[in-house]
Amino acid sequence: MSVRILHVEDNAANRMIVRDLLEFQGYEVVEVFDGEEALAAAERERPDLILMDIQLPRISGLEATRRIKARPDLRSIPIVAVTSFALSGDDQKASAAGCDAYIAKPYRPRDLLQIVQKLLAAKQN
Amino acid sequence: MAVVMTNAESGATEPAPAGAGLNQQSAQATGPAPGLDRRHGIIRRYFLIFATLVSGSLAASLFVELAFRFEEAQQTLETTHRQMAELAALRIQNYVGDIADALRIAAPPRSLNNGRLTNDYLFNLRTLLKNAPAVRDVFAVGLDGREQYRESRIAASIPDTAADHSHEPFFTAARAGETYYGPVSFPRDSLEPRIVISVPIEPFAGEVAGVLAAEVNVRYVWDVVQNIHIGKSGYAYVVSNDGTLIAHPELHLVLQHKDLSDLPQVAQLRNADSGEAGTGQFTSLSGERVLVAYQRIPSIGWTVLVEQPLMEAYAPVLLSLGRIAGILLALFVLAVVAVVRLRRRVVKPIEALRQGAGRLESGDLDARLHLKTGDEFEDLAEDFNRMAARLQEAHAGLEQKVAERTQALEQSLDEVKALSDTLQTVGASLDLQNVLQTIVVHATEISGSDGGVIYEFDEAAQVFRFRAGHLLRPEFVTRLVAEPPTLIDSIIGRAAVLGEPQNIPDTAAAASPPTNTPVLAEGYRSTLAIPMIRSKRVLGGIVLGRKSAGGYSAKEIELLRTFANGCTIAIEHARLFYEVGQKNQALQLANQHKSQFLANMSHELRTPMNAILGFTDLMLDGIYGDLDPRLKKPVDQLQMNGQHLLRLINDVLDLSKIEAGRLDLDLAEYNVDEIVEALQATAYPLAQAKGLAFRVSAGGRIGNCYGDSKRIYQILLNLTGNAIKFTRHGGINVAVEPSNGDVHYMVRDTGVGIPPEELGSIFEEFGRGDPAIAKEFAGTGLGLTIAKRFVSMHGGRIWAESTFNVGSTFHVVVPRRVTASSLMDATVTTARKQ
Repeated sequence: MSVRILHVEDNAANRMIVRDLLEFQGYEVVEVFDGEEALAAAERERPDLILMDIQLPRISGLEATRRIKARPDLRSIPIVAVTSFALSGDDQKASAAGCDAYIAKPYRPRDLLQIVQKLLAAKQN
Repeated sequence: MAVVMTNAESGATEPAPAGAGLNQQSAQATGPAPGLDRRHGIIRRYFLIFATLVSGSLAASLFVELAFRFEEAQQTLETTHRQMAELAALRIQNYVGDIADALRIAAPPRSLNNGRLTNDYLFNLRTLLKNAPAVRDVFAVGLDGREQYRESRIAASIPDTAADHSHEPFFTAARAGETYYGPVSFPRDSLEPRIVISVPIEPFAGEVAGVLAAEVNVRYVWDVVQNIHIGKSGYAYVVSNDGTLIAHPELHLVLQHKDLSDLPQVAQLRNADSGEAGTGQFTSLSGERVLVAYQRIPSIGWTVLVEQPLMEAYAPVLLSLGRIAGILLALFVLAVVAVVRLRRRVVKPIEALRQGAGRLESGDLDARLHLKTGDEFEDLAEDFNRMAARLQEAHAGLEQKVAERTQALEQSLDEVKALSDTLQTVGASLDLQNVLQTIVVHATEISGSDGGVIYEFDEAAQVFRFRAGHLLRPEFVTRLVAEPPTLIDSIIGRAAVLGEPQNIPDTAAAASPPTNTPVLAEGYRSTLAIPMIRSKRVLGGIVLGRKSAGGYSAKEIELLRTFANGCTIAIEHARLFYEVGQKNQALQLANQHKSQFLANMSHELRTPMNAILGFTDLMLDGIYGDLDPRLKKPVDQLQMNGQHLLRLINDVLDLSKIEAGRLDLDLAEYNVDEIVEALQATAYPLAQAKGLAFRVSAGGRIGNCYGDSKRIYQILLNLTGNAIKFTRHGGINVAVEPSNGDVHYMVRDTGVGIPPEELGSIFEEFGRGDPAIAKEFAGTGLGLTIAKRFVSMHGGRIWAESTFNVGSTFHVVVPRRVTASSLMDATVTTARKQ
């Protein structure tokens, strides 16, 4: 069974990059466009990992993360916060909301991949 | 010389001061006033100095003189005495010598008979007796020692042929060819001393035929001695070898055949070292201390001694000493008299002057001096009296003046206080209402007005608006607010138009302007209006009123003008402050907008940047299959420029965050080694890629630090990055060392360097120096600006040294441990820069 990754992102170009990158690596990528959909998709798809953009329409990525992490059945899914806010304190906010990792835009695709691989490996163990 | 102090007004009119004057007079008459003694110091000192000088010099000269005189006198005395002794000795010697000579002359026989003397020889002897009266007996002795001829002055001349003289000294000595002088003897048949003198009889030289001897009366020595007188009681005497007295003025001593060998002066003659002649002090036969001079007569072994009592010998010396002492005493007395006279002539008038001055000082202006010394002191006393009189006059006028001035001063003081209060309020308070209220209260009260108003001119409506009032009825205030005065119909209006204060002494008497009516209705008779004008602009005015007629004095108007000026300044300040506040607020807002805009912009740029860089990376990583070789270069360029754009965005964001005050230091404990290691890890590959050496050196132990290690790392990375960027060959050296509680980082390169004229601007935004160089070495131009801001935020310093085309060194000094105060300083510095 292939590894499934949920990518929450409203920008099409960025979704495309992540899809191209992760699928090339053999992961299955599920995409949603906003925070609200993210929760539903997490319930429905039960992904192995979630890449969560923070600036999203309707509810923010942080709020979505909080909701997912509030769910006992979903809590174990690692969430990587992806943000274009580079202001100091963003990483703390992400971590406070329950994110397991944090990466700022613009990121190098291989860096993102590294984080994803690391988290998946940790989860398997 | 009359020195009298009297009271100038000692008449019957003023008994009290006269009494006081008399008391002082009597006090002066009985002796110097208490406390005067210590004032005598100067005179006493001069007297002492004078006396010491006079008596000292006199005594010194006396002692020197005495010493010399004594020495001289002693020498003279000794010489005289010795000469006396010498003379006597010479005479005695000559006398004895003459007899011996006579003997020698008589000695050779007129004829010799078989070696024996003939009777003719008697003739020789008789001639001798005739020629030398001192010779008593003369006799010739043959070689066998038998007496052959004798001729005596008193007895028949029968030679004692039996007498054998062969063993007697006179014979043996003369037999040997010498003249012999025998010892003194006192024969029983005579009182006079006698000696035997003998000579050889030599018919031919060297051929002794016999001895001619004579008994010689040496009484002549007595005459010699008797004739010697030294001073009053000095005398001479003669002693023989064995100390027997031969001659002495007191004859009985001689006749007693006095043995003087125990007398010290005679005893000492036995000493071998006593010499031919000498002097000394001894005790005489009569027990007196005497000065002794002696002279030996070697031929006969006698000694002439000359003695004079010491007291008598030294009498002249003592006399001259006494004379000099007398002169000294006389001079001393003269000096004392001179000083006393000086004291009387100088000190007494000075004392009188001093006492007079003392009385003046203690407030007794009636004090006068009457000095009749006929010299400068009298003039001085007269001057003193004139001065005292003037003082008295001046004093009389003074009290009234003091009272006047005190009143004036009190008023001025009130005014100054009011002014000072006003100015303080104007300066300290930016609340215009408060300032105006203070001014109107002070202005009203200091001018003694019964009411005061401050108006501010409303330029738009061309009316005076009521701003503050004092001592006004509320109804009147309401009326003033409701019906503001205009430029035309009011007294303040007129003052403003004319630009001069309007002083109306009696409002009732003045017909116009009509506004006077309400003023009058309030009961104000005097009115004063002072305009407030600044740069030809009417700002407002002060109006004061009194319920009594008479108006305001020029001085009051002047004072109130000052209050008006205070108001003018206060109003202007308040206006300016308001304007500045408004502008400042706008500026702050604009700045905030700018920063927010920049932050938003850079943020919004990130999303598309992510896509651009992301796709480029994916392409280069071969996610989309192998890249067409022709595309490789453009995609590389795409990636490179994309990354440059990203750095630019990041830098702009950092800067805008700093300027918006939204970037805080993340303070924590850190270790310099970790920063340096991280720096090396990052920079080393970059340097190596360009073929540059990269070295890190740490000097000295730097303990635990406190600060934002991320930012410090960022600063160093930026500097190191620049160094690598601007260096074509050579190397980069990063050094860290502790420095007085700071950490000093140095990034040194062998790069292109910075021209001196640009060294000052490299820390400014986009201050990248030479565009040609900047073009070659891509960069955002914000790195150093951000580095500088971070350093400042730490309370540190950053600067650069560079030699163009040789290399640059960037220095960063940050406190080892950032404290609240260093951060505060940093904030202030940063704030000033903006």
